[in-house]
Amino acid sequence: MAAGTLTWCRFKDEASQLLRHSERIKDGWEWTEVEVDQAGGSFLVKKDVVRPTSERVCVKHCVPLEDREDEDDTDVLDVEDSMEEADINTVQCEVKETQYYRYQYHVLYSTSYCVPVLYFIASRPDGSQASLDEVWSSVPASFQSRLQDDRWTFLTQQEHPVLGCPMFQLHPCHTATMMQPLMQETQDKEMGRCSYLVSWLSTVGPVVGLNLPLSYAQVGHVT
Amino acid sequence: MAMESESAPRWFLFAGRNFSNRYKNCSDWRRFGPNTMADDREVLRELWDGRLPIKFNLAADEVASMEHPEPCYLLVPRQSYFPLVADKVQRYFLKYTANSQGEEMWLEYEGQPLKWHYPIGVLFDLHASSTMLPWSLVVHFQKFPEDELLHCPGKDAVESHFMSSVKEADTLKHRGQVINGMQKKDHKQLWMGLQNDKFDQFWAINRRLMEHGEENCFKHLPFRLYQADKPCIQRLFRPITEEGEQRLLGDLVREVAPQVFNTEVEDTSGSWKVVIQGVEPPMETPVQWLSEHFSYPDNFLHICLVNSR
Repeated sequence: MAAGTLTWCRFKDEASQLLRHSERIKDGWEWTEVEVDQAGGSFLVKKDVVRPTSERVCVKHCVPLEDREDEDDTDVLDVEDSMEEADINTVQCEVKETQYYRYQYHVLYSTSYCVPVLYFIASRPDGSQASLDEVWSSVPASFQSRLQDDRWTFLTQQEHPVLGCPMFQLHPCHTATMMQPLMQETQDKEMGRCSYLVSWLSTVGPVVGLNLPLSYAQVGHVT
Repeated sequence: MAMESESAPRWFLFAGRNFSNRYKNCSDWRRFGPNTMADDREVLRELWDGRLPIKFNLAADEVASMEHPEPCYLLVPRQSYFPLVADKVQRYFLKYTANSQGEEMWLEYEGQPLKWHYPIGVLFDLHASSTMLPWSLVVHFQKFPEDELLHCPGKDAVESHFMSSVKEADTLKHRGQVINGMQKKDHKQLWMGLQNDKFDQFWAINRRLMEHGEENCFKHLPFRLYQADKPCIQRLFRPITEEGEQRLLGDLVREVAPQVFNTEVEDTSGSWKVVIQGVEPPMETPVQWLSEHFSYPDNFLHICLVNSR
């Protein structure tokens, strides 16, 4: 296999190992088989990952006036005068509200690039799909600045190769290049075989909010 | 029609330039002689120049003006993508709709939302190949079908999608060596050639992606096979056998979509047509030749399985 890539067989084996560990620590990964016996036709899925995605400025009714510690009486009077009687005890103010989106992650195998590929969708609280801009805004700032130039090539909406539905994808064309020194390093240091899948997922996952607990480091470790 | 006898018999038949009559049914052919460089290049030019006449209508329930807009007619390149050619359509119809803010236009044919990231020719072959021309589409600005269509934030998204297909195709053909060996300006030239309908500009770069170097074929064939209402199929497929023999279109279809040849089973859904670039190439056509000549600008062979009933 070309450097930095993995075979479908190894992908499946390492997926099994990951699933066993996930089961142990109740991490929620599942295996989905759609095209049995086809390379790339089955994949890993993790659903219902809730994470803060964006801060929204909204108008809310806040603490009643009489409960506010407001030293400046004139201001209070002005506000009272301008408000309707019904609202006399509340004040409208702007607050930043964190939105929690529901993420679903799929890890597929690309037969073209011979690497794993990460797909995901993000649903807003009302069930509708988040836009690419919203998803970008949730990418940690440190990654954003580095990826900004390659934005259009790195994270895009694509058709899921097996299910056909729209999902966001982390583009696989640089994966082999990224993984090659990593895999070489572990081989050179005679650390035995480590899990390509775990190494890869722990590297790219955090960019889009998927964090792997440290205990995964032991997965597939064969000396 | 007699076959030209050669060691590797080659047919290349395609609909003529006069698309308005010939595209009505895909079986109109004009045969060229044994392949020569000039003939092969003529195939490329013919396909590049292929056009589809389209009639755009605004969805009746989205008309907010007193006056119902006249349909808008456009002649569009088969090789292009809707977001690259439909600006006029969007500007024209937007003023007849409710005053909405930046809502994305999407197109529909007989209830089927059309995927902007498929080349226009593929969409027509897949959904409407037996329809009369002009191809009649409905324009929408509301209720974007998020479960079915990708969003298209702008031409950058089309470029990104196009280039990523080109890269994937080259990864399959040459392990990515040709595309990665090119400079950014070459990539840009491919895109600009497509966007501006400049055959020579495009092929100056694309011919490098179509070379097969020391081997006489690509490593794997970049292709996608489509059927209505099913996700597209993409598999690894070598253009030659281990014994070095050319694999044919029939071999590919048999492997990926065996139901086309499955005459043993009583198939009530009718028989299938295999359509590429608006025509039905014979099953004896070598896939290597098809990949070099019948691919779309993204370097993929987009094959449509159409029910002929």
